[in-house]
Amino acid sequence: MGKGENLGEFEQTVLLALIRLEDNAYGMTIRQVIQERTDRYVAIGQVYAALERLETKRYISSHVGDPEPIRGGRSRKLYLLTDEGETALARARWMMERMADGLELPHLRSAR
Amino acid sequence: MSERNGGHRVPRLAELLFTLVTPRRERHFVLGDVREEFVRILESGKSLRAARLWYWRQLLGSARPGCRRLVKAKMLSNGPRRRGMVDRQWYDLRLATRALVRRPLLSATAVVTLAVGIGATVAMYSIVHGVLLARLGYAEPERVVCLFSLRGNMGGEPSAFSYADFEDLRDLTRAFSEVAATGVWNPTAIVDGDPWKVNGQSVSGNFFDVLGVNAALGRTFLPEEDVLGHEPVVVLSYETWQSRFGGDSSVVGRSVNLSGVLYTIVGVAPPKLEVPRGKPDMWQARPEYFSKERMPRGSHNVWPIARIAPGVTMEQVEADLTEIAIRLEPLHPAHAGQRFAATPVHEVLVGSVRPALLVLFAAVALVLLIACANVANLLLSSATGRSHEIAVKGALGASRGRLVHQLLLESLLMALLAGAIGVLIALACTSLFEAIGVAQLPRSAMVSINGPIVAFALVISVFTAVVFGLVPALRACGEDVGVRLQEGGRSRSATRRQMGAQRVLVVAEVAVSVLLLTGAGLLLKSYANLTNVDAGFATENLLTFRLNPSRQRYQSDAELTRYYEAVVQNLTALPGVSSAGAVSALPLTGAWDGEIVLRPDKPVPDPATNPHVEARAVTPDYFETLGIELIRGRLFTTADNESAPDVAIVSDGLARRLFPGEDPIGKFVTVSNQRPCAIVGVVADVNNFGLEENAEPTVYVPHAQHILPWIRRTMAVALKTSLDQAVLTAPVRRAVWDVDPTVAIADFRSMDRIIADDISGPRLGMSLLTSFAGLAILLALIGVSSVMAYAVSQRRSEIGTRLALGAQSRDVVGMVIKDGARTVVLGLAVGVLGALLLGRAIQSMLFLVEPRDPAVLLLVSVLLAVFAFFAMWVPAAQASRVPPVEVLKQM
Repeated sequence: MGKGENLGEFEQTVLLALIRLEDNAYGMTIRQVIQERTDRYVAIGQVYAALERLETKRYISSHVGDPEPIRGGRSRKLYLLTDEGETALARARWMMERMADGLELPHLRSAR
Repeated sequence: MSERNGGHRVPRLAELLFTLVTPRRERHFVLGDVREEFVRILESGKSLRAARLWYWRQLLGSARPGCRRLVKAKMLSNGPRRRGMVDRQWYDLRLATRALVRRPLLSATAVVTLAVGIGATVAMYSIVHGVLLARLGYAEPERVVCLFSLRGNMGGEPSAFSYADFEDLRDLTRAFSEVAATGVWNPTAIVDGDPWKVNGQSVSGNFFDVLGVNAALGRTFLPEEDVLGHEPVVVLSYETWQSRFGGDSSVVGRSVNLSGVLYTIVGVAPPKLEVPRGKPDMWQARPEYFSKERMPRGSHNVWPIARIAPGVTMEQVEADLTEIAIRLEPLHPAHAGQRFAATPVHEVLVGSVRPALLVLFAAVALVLLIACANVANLLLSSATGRSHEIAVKGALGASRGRLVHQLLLESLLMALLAGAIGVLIALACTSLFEAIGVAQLPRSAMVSINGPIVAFALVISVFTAVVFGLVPALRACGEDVGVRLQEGGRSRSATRRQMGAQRVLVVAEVAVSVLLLTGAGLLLKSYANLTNVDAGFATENLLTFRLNPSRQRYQSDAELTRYYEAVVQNLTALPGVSSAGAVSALPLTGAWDGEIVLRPDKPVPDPATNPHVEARAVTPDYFETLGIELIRGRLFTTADNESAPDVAIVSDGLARRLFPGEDPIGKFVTVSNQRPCAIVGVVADVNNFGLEENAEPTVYVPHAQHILPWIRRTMAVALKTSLDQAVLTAPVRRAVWDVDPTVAIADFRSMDRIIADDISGPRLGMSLLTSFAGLAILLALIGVSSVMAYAVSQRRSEIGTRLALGAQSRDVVGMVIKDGARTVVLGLAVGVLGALLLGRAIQSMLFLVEPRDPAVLLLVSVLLAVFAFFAMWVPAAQASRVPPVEVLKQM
């Protein structure tokens, strides 16, 4: 593989969020979708920390949108997965599945 | 950024804080995201409060990751040099804080030790600052001087002027722009019924102009107000205005009855005004109160105060005074050689306590140095534990300067924290000041913890950081990096130089402790001497108070005699009172009021002898009440009244002076040009002024014989009684007010109380120095003990080997202690030497004690040696108990 760095747990979560959000992935939406789906409190600062790391590793790319009134005249920064990012994510998930294969793991019931 | 779109307002403060914790590149987007979500929350129907809460929570959650990223970014950035320096300082500061927090026990011990030292120093400084350094509230205070008369045959003691001399000086001087007279004035005020004895001053009309102060309310005196015949006017002190007149601003223009005369209040003086010679409740502008008409030229009770004219120097002042004195000499045959002297007011107010305060301040500074030495020792001991860390940093490229800087920063942080705690400790100490008698010091009203004191604390903290931090920092960073790295993290051996530095510190600590303990011992001995002084009378079971019948109601001498006879009679009749007597001034409370006593057969006094003596008017039972011993002849009786021949009793010292080798009984003396009196008795000398003073020659005249009219009005009354003051208050009041209810009873207190107040100064010095010495010893013993413990830990392998080879534990202990004892003994020697050399500094505070008192030095050395022995024995004994196996394993 490329940089030789594994994906942290939260970073994987963020990448998955990007996939879910397709072309509507920016700070607020990423934060919201992670918080909703994982029942875990997420602060915007954490999200951006992870995004910065991912961008450094070139797993994601970004482009800036137009200013929006609802943001007080500020623009959005939208993120997309790169090919390297997809590969890294796939590898990470493959690793987990390989390790868990055949094991009896306790079931986590859905919190809702 | 304005908030459009429905005017939704994000919490401004939180938004601002967000910018602080978010890297610059992202701010735009992060703020946008949170604002967008904020608005959406509001639009979804949630309350503004819920939305704001959400916003703040986001901020808090984002702070930690944001700060961490900011730190990392700063560390990696290659910004312009200047900004890098500031960032680096900030970074170093955080590193230093973390280093301290990582070793909480060490840091806490150091901070506490320093805080105690700094606290004591700051508390003492607040006293020094308030008393010695704070500026007087006058205009150009250095130009205001008090004038004294130096009558050559009074032994050069500065004393009062006569009113005639004052007038002459005022008219002849060219060096002063203003000269004012001041003197004691004690009228009785009747405010709301009960008579109250006023502690006042009678002054010239220009008195407040000399000081250069303005009234706080109303005005001060006008020049014409001190002319004879003018309406009586009075200026109140600020404190009296508050306490006796309720701080009522309508008091100006009101009348007040003082000894039967109606005075108009024209103004109130500024708060905390300090004037020489007392803390007056009020001032009257009647200098002729002291004039020739009332008192003869021989009577001296004017204390002039003057302002030096602009452009005039002190030398010119002295020349002017000398010239005037010479011109006046022909008028004073009895005062041949009289000179005048001027002393700056500040010196008059605080000059007597300055040496003692400076000694005490030096003592507390020494305590602080011991505390610093302890902390330095602590840092030196712990430096070996950090040597690996420092070596690594050095290998990674940090310059030596940077490392030292880092360690010094840690020291500075500890010192500043200790300083803050020290100020709190000092604040706590101020509540103890009352108890140890700080209020008796001159200018004690200025003593408080305020701005300059806190600034001093800051400076001291920084100073201590350098003192205790520099050497350990230099030592820790100076060793060979390569050697350290090779040893890995295991080695904890100290270098010889390090141990040497610690030994030096121990020697210094022990020496300073000897010094302080010796000082404390000397003061203790001195204080014991004071309390054992034989004052010439029996001090126990005496209650005293003062009376001042007014001029209005008691105009003739006969009326005064009758008044006091009646009062003494009533008091003697009280149950529990064995005898009562009145005297113009009690022992231990007199003020210098010299009278001239001559033999009629020798009208021109022998220039070698001092003709000035203290004079007292007494009632017959006075001597018995006070227990003053009769040496020859007889005491006064009720038969010695106005119609009987004039008699006098002299003190032993006076008899020897005037009639050396002769029997004075039956001989005559004149007092201040009054009628000659026959001496009927000789009594023991009595201390008239204070326990530290010598007994002065005294002449006594019967109150009933009207000699010396000016000392017959205000009298002190003494009661011999075994009853408590509280029990007797009401009966005494009845007894006195039965005779005349308008006469105030002032200063009702026991003789024991008078004595306690008299020695409150030495008691203060003793308490403070003893406390400092105790603190110093405690710190020094801790220092000795910890250095010993460290030294022992360095020798663990050696000790373990010896024990394993069969040595007894007491041999080991002995070996270790012998080693430490050398250091302690050296410290004792240096300390004793220092005490011998510096003893003179404390001389002024001692009473009948020599600074090189061998008994005290010996006791101190032995005491400290014993303490130090125990301080060393404990860690040594502990070391010898470690099983040798353990030690061998670690080798």
